[in-house]
Amino acid sequence: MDIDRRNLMKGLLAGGALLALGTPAWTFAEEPNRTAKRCLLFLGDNYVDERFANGVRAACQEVGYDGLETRQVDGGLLSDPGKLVSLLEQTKGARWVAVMDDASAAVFQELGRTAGGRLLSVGSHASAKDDACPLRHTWLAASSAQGAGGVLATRLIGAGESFSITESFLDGSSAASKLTNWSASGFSSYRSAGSDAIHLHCSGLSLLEGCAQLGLAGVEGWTPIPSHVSQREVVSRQSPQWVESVGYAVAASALGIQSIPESCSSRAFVHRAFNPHSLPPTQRFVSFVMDI
Amino acid sequence: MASKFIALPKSVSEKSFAAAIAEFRRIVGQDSVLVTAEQLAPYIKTMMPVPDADHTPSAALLATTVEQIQKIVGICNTYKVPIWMISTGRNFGYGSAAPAERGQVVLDLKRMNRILEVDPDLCFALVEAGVTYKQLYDYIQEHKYPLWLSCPAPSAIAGPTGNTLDRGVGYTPYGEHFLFACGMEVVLANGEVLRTGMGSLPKSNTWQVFKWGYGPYLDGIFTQSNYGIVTKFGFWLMPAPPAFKPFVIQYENEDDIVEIVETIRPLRISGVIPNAIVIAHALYEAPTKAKRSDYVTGPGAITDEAVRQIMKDHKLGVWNVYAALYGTQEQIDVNWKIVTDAFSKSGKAKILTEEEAGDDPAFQYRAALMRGDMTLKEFSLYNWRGGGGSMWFAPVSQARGSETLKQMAMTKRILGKYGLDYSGEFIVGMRDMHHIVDVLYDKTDPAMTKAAYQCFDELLTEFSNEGYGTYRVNTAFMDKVAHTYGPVQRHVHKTLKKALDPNGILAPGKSGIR
Repeated sequence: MDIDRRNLMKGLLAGGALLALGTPAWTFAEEPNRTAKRCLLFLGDNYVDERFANGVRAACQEVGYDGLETRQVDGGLLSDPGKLVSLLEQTKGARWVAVMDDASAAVFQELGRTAGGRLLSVGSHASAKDDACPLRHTWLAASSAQGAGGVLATRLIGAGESFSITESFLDGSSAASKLTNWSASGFSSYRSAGSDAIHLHCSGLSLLEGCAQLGLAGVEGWTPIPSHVSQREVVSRQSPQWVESVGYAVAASALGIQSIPESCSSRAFVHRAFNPHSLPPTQRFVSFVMDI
Repeated sequence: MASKFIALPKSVSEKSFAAAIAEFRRIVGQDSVLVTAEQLAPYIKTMMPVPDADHTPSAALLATTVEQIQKIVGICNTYKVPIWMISTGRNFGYGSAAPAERGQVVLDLKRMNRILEVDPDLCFALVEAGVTYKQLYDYIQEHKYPLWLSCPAPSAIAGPTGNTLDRGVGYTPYGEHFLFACGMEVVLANGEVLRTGMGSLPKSNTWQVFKWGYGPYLDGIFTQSNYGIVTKFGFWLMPAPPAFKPFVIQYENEDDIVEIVETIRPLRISGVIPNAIVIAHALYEAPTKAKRSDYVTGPGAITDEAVRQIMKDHKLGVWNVYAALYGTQEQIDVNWKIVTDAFSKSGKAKILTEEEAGDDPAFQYRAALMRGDMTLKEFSLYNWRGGGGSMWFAPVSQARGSETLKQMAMTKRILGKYGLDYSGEFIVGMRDMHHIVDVLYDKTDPAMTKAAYQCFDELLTEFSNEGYGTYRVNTAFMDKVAHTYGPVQRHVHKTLKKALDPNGILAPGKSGIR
């Protein structure tokens, strides 16, 4: 089955219904930009596996994709990397959505490269009770079309935790002909000057505070992005489980359910919750979307 | 106008680069020239505290033959395109597969992975640059050769060529890898192919058995350098010993490092303990058994009290000395008495044999490394703090107790200043110690990433001020380390570079050489 063809069509058809459910219509691409015959969920024997998988399955369900295969390596990749090598050989042509710990991720990226894998995105996700920003997500994506940060931001913003999401896009030019001025609902958005533009979306904190949190120097050279483009956004289907939300966002990206690809080399969402619901325990994991 | 490429080499126009890419495709084929973001992304992510964008390649080439590489360097000379060579690219905390500078073209030799010869009588191997230790291990097992490998910690996925060229180490008696290198084939920047040592002699059958050849010994200048592309590599293999006895000796106090080193040095120099002994701190071993967050949260380095608790919970010493005896059972019995007598004198040491250590995960992986088996357990370090940040800090110390204590204290103090933990070990060389510290930090935390950079910079500065040199470093700090070795050495390196690679096409920036 061709995920992008069949299910994107389903997704487009279902767009109205999803909008009613609260899923933003803009998350669907106008055209499929990637093709994969088969989607595989790889669980690296991490304690977040189950919750991440729930999010992935929710995304699959929303686009009507019922062909998701799941694989797991008991004991993790450090115990037997040979199993992963075999699996990579057996799944040529598949799009992998993977989750694992940092150590396994270092091995996975290497073995994926050796297998000729094309890396669409790799994300590092962390929660910490004691940090100024309890939830942090850092992505490297091939292009903004593969960015999962927008979807994740809209799912997290109502969940009651402060968070930061940063995305770096290798091919910042790919979205040059697409939307350049987009403002996420609930965020005040800014664009930095220069050829390697950065888009920064702040919620609950000022531009200066947002920059400081991300380690960006000063507020010189930033211009606001008008908010009119975001009027259609409706966001209500947040999951209280942040790991599940990450799984959803990563899978949504893998399945071609896109956030608007902004024309920038990097993008960040920063949200400060004033009445945090609960402080999450320390958890860390890495996500991948890779075509093998 | 948007570029077709995600990066361009320095001072090369897009038009010129596109022409070079077209020629590369003609040589290695369309599918073996990678230029899209998705194809190049696996080469980009680093563990260093600098933006990955600083190390983004413009393309990657997958060569399969020496002839292709000769033509590739010709194209690079024509268009002044720099290439960054990797065998497997698994240098992790020393810099991964990403080039030293943005825009360099990665020349990935992973498809040059033929095992050309393994001689079970003379105990040597000749391999192409992309061969991994696991490949060679499987080959030796299949042929039932009584030979052992010496591997670095990422054994299964790294390879002997890249590791030795970066002067990496293993944990068997052959652990100082370059000491056991014997013969290289090198494609020079002008396209000529050099075989070092006896390999230059037509019909020679001594290329992998006699290192020195005739005239100036050249192999060394192709290690940690950018003077050529090593395509074939010969090295010696260890005969499998009839008996093997790994053991661990634990000590309770950090100051005990003085006694440990003073006890080990004569045993190592005399060959009673023949392998590259490791003296690992509790925090280097703990990640195989625990996570940092199980013990501490909040900013700042882990406390000594927490380390004590980890030691208690996981049966670790603050220092854990891993070593082994090799030979006949009779030899081992004699040497075991010498070792136990030496370590028992002060009453501080707790000596554990393999039987006594049982299935302890730290002991298991250390024992595997000391017999050249494949294991990736040391990667557990990356889960200690998490977040994907890692830099190996690798100063060299004399094998003298007072020196190791001084280095440990300096390192711990500087790391602590920046809120980072001391995850260190000493690997005992012939008369030196490789002091290896994994500077682990959370790359998702901008403040910690900045601190990690400053910390590493300060470590290099403070150590060089004390006369301690770093033997190996990641690509973000190569210039700084080269600078610590002084202007004369840098000038000689540069002179050689100009002579061998006048257009500067081979890995500019490697070891600070351009």
